[in-house]
Amino acid sequence: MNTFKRLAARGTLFGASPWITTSIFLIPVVVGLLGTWLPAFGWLPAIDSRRFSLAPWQQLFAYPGADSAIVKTLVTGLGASALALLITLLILIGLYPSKIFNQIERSLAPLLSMPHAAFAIGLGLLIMPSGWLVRLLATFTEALSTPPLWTTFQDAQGISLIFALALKEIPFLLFMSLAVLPTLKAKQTLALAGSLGHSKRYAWTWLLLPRLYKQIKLPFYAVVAYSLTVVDIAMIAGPTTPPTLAVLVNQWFYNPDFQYRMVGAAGATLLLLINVVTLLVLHLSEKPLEKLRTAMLNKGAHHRKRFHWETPAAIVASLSLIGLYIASILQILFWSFASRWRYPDLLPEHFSLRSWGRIFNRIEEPFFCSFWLAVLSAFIALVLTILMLENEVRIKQRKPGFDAQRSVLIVYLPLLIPQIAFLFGFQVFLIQTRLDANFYSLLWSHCVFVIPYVFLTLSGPYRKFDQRYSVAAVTLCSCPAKSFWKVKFQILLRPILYAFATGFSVSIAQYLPTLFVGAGKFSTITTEAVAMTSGSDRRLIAVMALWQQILPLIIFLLATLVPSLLFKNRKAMQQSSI
Amino acid sequence: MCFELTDFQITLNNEALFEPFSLHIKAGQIGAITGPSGSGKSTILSDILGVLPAIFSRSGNIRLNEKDITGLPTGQRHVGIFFQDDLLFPHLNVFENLVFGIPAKLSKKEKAQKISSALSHAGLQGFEKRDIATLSGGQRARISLLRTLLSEPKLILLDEPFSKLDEELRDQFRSWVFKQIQLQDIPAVLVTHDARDIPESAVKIELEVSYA
Repeated sequence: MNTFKRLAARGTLFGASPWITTSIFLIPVVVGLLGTWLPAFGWLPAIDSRRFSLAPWQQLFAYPGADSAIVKTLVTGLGASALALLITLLILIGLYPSKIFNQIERSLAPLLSMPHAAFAIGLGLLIMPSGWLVRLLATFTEALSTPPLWTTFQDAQGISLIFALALKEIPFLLFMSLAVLPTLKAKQTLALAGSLGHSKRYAWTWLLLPRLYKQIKLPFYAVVAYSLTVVDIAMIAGPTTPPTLAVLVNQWFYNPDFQYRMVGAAGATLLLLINVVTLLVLHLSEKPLEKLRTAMLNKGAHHRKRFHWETPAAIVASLSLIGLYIASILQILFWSFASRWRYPDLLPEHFSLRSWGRIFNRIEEPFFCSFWLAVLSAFIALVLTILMLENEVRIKQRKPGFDAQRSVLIVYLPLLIPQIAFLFGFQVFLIQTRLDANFYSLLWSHCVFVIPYVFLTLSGPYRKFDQRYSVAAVTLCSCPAKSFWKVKFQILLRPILYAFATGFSVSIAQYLPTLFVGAGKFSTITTEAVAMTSGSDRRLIAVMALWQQILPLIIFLLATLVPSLLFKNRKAMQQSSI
Repeated sequence: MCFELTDFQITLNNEALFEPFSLHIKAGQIGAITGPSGSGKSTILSDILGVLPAIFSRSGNIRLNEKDITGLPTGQRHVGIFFQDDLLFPHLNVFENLVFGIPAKLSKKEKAQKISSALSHAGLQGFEKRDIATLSGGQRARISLLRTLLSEPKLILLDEPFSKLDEELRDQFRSWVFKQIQLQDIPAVLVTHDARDIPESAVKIELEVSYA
């Protein structure tokens, strides 16, 4: 403790924090990428393969359905990202600023806290031919008295995957946009454009969207990278024969024939390539689009009276979004307690606790593993994030012109590189250094993905903090530590707890890191839930999905309740500024 | 107690913000620094506090009670500051705000007594448990100054202290502030762009912008 204090007093800990964080990111990424690239070209000493060759690539392209898997990857990944971006923009154009929008803003936290896999499971149960949607239709028409033979989930075209991904990413993009709208002076711009006789749509399309896009570019890239390369959601909601490339790669990595490790490595590298090229194309298309916009803008506005469809469309979109989330949670909830639930009945005939009981026997270990991973990784991420942001304050004190945005790119790195492109290599590295199947290695791998989200959630409110409070506090009590804990930390308690909850739910949702780094020795409720989706009873799947959701929800609830209770008599502390 | 600035000058990129000046004030005295906006008034206060951004550099001395304080960190300078915004901590009530700066060596009872008598001198008796957000601007300003004075600084800095108050409140509050400073018997440095804020007895410094 004394050393800690001395380090903190000299500011070394603050100065070191960006380096500690960067190495937590960079070591797994760099080691992991190399450890994947080498086997992709035939070098994998672990299985006695020490000759560079293109054989893994030839095997990859010769694999039945590989080309179709690549096409599906592109269609679902790009489709989902585009859909998510368009609906996010539609909701902003149609509803910002308005009372409805404030309502949506308030519902974002629970939507964000829902693990991807749990949402995909719920959505699946909902839209399957025997789900609530079809049952609801069946009450109106005789034609549906038996479940139809439609494939509405895990369809070969990947439509259900596109929807599952897009619906899960819209809240994230909305959340990231909300953080930057004030800096764009969106309300003022809209009012000004209105006074000049332009419509809201005109102001958004030509004035605000281009600037907003620049600000949410990195989150959007993260969405693209995620959608192109996700494994767990694609296993639950995606097409099966063949699946998307990411799922195929994962199958290769777990093929009993060790030769397939190298095919998997080649596939993972191909996925990385697809990802990099896609992001590069997006980046390069910005300049031409910008030129086009300026040209269009210079032509002047057309004051045509047009129907303002965007507001009703945005209302429909946001209601469906929230409705689908609620419906899928309820659908899971009902299934988990159902004992007999015949087709077209809207409600189960009997309820029972049997499924909960059956899961209870096998939940204990994964439950505690998930819990400790999430608590510890969120805590480590929070400490590092606060140290880095305090370091920023110190640097700004010395150099007021310091641009904090530069650090953002490095924070985004783990979100822009596909997990599957480096986790295999990282696993090989861990095995070789005998650090595999070790709880701390697993924790490390979770931190790689938890830190970025904690940093992104906390940095906004933290940077907005009026530093004069701290100056006043230090001059009053002569003690920087007391002034931090009693003033800054407490004023920022709400966003700090919110960031912790975000990190917690990100860790709970991790699938691939646990699969690869846990090496079968550790399982979490998420790996269990995903494993169960192939073939189990849907009641058991429902219970598992609920367990997955309960933990983050409780933490988010605490994160909102604790500050509200602590500051219940402090009016100025009541507005939830996350 | 006394406070002095000697041959004091601040430069930015080798350009002086103002001509060098010296200021010497005794306990209970007010040194008033005026000058056009952008002349570096608030920068001087940052430097006295020890939070001068590194892009600036200073020449000359800052001495408080004959002791050079330029090497000390903010917390050890015993300099209090009063901003135009009250900067009362929103998560603490009036009592908790006031007790924050009271030297720890006092007992709980002594602290409570100090606060209660300070509040009643300010016409705010019984306000201990009030939430900051429910107070008027004038009440907040008074509590903010009390908070600074209760921390027993050896020098108090006033950064445009009255500019956010409305006319009516302003005169009344101004004379109250100067009375409090005299009672406390410490030197004060006032920075303002408004000549009406400066008491007759003050040692006046008008910054000359250097166009060198």
